[in-house]
Amino acid sequence: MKKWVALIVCIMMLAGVSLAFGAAKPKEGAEEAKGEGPFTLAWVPKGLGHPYFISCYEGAQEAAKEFGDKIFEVGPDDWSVEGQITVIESVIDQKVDAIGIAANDMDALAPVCKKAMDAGIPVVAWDAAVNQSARVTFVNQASFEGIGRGLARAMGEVIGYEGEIAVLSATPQAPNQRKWLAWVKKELEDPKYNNVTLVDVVYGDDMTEKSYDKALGLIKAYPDLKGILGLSAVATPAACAAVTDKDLIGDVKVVGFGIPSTMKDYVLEGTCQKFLLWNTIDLGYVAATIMHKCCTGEFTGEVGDTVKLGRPTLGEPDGVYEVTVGEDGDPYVLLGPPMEFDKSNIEKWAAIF
Amino acid sequence: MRSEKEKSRGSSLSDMLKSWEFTIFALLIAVFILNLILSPDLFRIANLFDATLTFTEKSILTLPMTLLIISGVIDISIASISAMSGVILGVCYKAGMAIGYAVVIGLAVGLAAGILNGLIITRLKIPSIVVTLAMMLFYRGIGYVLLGDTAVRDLPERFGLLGGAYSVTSIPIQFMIFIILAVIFGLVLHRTRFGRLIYIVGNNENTARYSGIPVDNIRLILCGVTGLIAGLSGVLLTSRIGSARPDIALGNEMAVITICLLGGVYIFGGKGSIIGVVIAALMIGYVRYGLSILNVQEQVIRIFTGGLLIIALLIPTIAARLKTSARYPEGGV
Repeated sequence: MKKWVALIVCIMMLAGVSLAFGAAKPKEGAEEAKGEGPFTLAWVPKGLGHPYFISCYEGAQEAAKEFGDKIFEVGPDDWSVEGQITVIESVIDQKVDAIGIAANDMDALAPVCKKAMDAGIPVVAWDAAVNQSARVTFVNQASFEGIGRGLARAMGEVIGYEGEIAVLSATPQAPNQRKWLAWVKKELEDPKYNNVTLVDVVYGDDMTEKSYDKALGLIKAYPDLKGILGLSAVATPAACAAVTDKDLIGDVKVVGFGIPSTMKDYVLEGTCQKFLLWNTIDLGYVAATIMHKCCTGEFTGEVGDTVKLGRPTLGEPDGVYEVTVGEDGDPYVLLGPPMEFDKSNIEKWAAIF
Repeated sequence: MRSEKEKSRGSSLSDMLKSWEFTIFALLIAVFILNLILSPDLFRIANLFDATLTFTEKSILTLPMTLLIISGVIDISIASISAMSGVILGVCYKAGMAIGYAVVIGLAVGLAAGILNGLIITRLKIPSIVVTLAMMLFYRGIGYVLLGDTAVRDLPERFGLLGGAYSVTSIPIQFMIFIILAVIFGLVLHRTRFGRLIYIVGNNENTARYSGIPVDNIRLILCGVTGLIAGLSGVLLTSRIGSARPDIALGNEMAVITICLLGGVYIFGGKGSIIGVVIAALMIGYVRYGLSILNVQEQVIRIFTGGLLIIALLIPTIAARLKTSARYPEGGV
């Protein structure tokens, strides 16, 4: 019994000590005027260690440096929703001035992001949104229309607007795949693609082996096939591998999504003529700039609100971004058209991510 | 264990060091002091309670797990049960059921899963770690089959209060549940006949059987309770993240077992106390919180947790070496 009493006394003492410490150094509420900075920005990617997110952070650091803000990256090592929630909880307690997040789940992260907003910490989503109610704005890397049309255009260019093409997609259910495919088809309706026929759409489930087999199947089934369009960063290299293995380099052309470092060899060999991806460094740069402007109160996230960057980006040569209404009806900031990679720039970007 | 110790309390340094509760409590205080030094203005009462939100779901699971391990059984399917309960709750809600009933179904699923584990372990006499390893995959699989890669979204707002809201004071509801459960489990284990039987079963299964103790029934009950609490943990987690998904609670079973061992539960059964485990749960929780406040990356936090466990395991072992008369009880399953 004595032990228990002693324990309780100890706990109460501890509580008292921490209360005293807490009271001794009251910190200003985050919701009070934040002034001119410098601010502390928390940068939360989906997970740590992925080249894609590392390059996003580079852009964010660039913006923070411009403003003299302190930025730090913190994220879950297991890429989980719970890990990300824990991270956000801790940065809220640290009373950072703004949070930039690439959400692992739109809804699951919403309660904790809302909590941050309630505590006066603006939340800017980038790469992957959280619900509109739990963010100031969302920096969208690319619209479905821009990607879909861009892919179809690239395909038309490399095959000379003539011949049979096929699409290698991930899964028929994934919403982004469905929307991209719809925009590809819409672009193909344009008269300049009159001689281009989309003969088939196959699904490789975003698995390398399955995608590879499906690409081989396409090559076998359509001897006159001129091009394969890879709709995911897995499908495109798999299609390239199939074309290379069948010794059809140049006869069957590949375009699609890709990550420069994994696509480099195929591009240099001539298997893949062109692939698309947004500029990840710009994505980080724009998001972190907006985080800073949220702190100063220059940016509110209302439709029509604009933000002026310190440098031009690939998507906006004048460096001015405006909040528009997105395809899902919520306001967002669009990064701009996706970036094209080919022989001329692949070496440079493959070294970056 | 404690009653034996009390006779010789204070007689020697090694005895005191050998008391798990003492070791672990000293570590907890060290953690608090370190945290106060490293981030004085962040480590405040409101934050301290707030921080419990991130580890309460695991902490409540350490309670039944303590009883289970003391009785000589282990369940490593708990995290999968949590996920399955959360998913079934979500599926029921999506099918049009009121959220209250969906919660009850979620808890019932946990209980059923625990009882199924218990039946296989006790009736078929298969080692519990093997059974629950298989069930871990099985239950997790059910969650994925039901929802695939998707999640049940827009659960009602008031359901979210369960996992995220605060009661009258600034204490989160979740943490209140943990405290209440800790008191209940503590009383059952340390103050009832059933609790004493759990120790006897874990200390020496055969002796217990010959003495006419219903070993299998006791273990079956504990498995069921563990399943039920795993279900509760899944419901709370689902509430906190506001959506039901099959990939929640990944790795929680190891986190829970780590806390139990750190709290002084003997992995082969027969030894352990609720107070030790509660202290260990708080300690691990605040170590993680303190480190994440300092923006220490998750990988490094794991090293700290592993290191703490090793230190906590070493201290009494070394102390036991010092005192040659020390004896450890026989193990169970």
